[in-house]
Amino acid sequence: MPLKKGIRKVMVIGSGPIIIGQAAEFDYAGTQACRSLREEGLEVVLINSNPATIMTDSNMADRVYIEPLTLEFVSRVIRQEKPDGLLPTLGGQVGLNLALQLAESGILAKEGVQLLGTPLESIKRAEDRELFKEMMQAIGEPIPESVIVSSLEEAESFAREIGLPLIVRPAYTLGGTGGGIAYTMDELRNITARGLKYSIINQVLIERCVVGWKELEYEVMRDSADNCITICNMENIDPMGIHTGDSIVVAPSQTLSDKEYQLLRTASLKIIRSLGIEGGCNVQFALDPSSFQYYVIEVNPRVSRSSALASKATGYPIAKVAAKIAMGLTLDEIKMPLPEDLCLLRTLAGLCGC
Amino acid sequence: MRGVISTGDADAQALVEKARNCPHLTGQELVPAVATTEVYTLPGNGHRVVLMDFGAKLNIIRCLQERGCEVVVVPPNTTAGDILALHPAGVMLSNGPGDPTDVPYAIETVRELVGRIPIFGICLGHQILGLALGARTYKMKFGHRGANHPVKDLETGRVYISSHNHGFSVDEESMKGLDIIVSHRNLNDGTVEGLKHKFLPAFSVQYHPEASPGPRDSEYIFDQFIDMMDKEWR
Repeated sequence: MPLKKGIRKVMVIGSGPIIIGQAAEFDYAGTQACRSLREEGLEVVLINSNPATIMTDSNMADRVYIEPLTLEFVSRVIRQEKPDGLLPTLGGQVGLNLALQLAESGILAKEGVQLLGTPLESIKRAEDRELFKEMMQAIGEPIPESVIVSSLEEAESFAREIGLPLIVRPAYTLGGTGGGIAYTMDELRNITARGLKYSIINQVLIERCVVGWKELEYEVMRDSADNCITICNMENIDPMGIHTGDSIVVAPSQTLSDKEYQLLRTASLKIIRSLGIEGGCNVQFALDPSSFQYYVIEVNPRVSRSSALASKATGYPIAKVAAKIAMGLTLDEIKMPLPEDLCLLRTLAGLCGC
Repeated sequence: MRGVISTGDADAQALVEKARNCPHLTGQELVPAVATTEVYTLPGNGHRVVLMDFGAKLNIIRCLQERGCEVVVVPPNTTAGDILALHPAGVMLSNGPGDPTDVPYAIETVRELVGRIPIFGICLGHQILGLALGARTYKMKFGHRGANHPVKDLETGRVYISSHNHGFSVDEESMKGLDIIVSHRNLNDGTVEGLKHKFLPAFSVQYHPEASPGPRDSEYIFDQFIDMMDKEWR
């Protein structure tokens, strides 16, 4: 498919401030995207509140606005610049949230700005817990069973159905006060009773506990023609239960057999297809080390911190390709930067098959 | 290229001599060394498929069994008459080692079977079908190995990542003027990865849709074979 028609000027929402959960990886992605769009001959307008980023260098975009990333300021820039398209999926969560707000405020429709890349509907489906659960059930991908309870009896009956251990999370408490992992029925009763007391609405969420299972993620890409590839997978050296921030992640996975690798790869492709993502996406799994049972833990419908690692580890420019996919190109049409005659579907270094 | 790697003998002259005496890939009897010598049957309630074993990967059999097929595995030198006497719904040509021109008896058998019964070939089986239909094969400069080759299905335009292990290929030039078309193409080097007869129920792929190891993206090819048998059976 050729470049989308009628799009000459594209606005990119930058990464914003560096905060916990959002750091320089989005500057990396945004910079790649700006270069990639200009390569296709497009005029790029960038808005970012953080001047200490590479992407706000004067040679990265045709015009750079250093303004707060709020609905009001971004709307003003849109009115002034009148871009044909908006690419929000490379600025992390800030960009995605802003895109949702802009769409809801009606300014995109009023100014005739086309939202590029992954459709908003797909983003909502991946980020809304309930919608996500419904979709996973519809395509038969397992997610950890959970139930909201307001009494000990309900908690006990769920435990009899699912088995122990279970995670107990009280609703609306700060920092998970009153929650915990129950390994026995006694513990379940104690923790649930405590949780119900702490929760201001007397509710706790009880969820299947996959502590000790392998923690894996796949970086996947899809284009508008439904072609999909996995860039690589990654494995957390510590199992589920140890926070990723306290652990080490390695690309590619170190302990999977081909059967396990392909099982999760197939599931990742099924998920990115059913979400309808156009660009990059990250799918996280928990895998039982002693069976082929797994759960889908989370899906990020955008480039994420893992994409930066995957990009560096494989040499595959994920954000650059995501930007070209957003402009309507398909994976088999996108050429590798080097060597010239190879197309991007050729993966580098033989990393984990794809 | 033939060569010798040595950790003991350091006499260059002797090693070169050894390399010279290594047999060429072409001209060896590799298929009979790895294929079954006896007929055996794996039960199933669906179509009866005769698998001509040239060194078949077990997962080809598993993929057929998952689709309900009864699989009769026969040696590579089984004649067309013997295969038809088993009254199968289709014939599967397996993968295998070496140069496809080293199994002329199998090429002859397939030539007799084409048009009489649905045929599906994988890897060496694909090359044998190509040769049986009048195309030529050649030794590639760079063979395809590994589980990450992009292959485009030219009918649908979709690209699948697939598992490859082949050093020979069907020559596209030699297919011109014949009743066969290229159905799949490798996006790295443009080589033929699948072919299909224009009118008769016979098709094949060069790569490994049965996966294991490698991606399962192309298992739909087995469904196409089942559909073809459904259609012909009626």
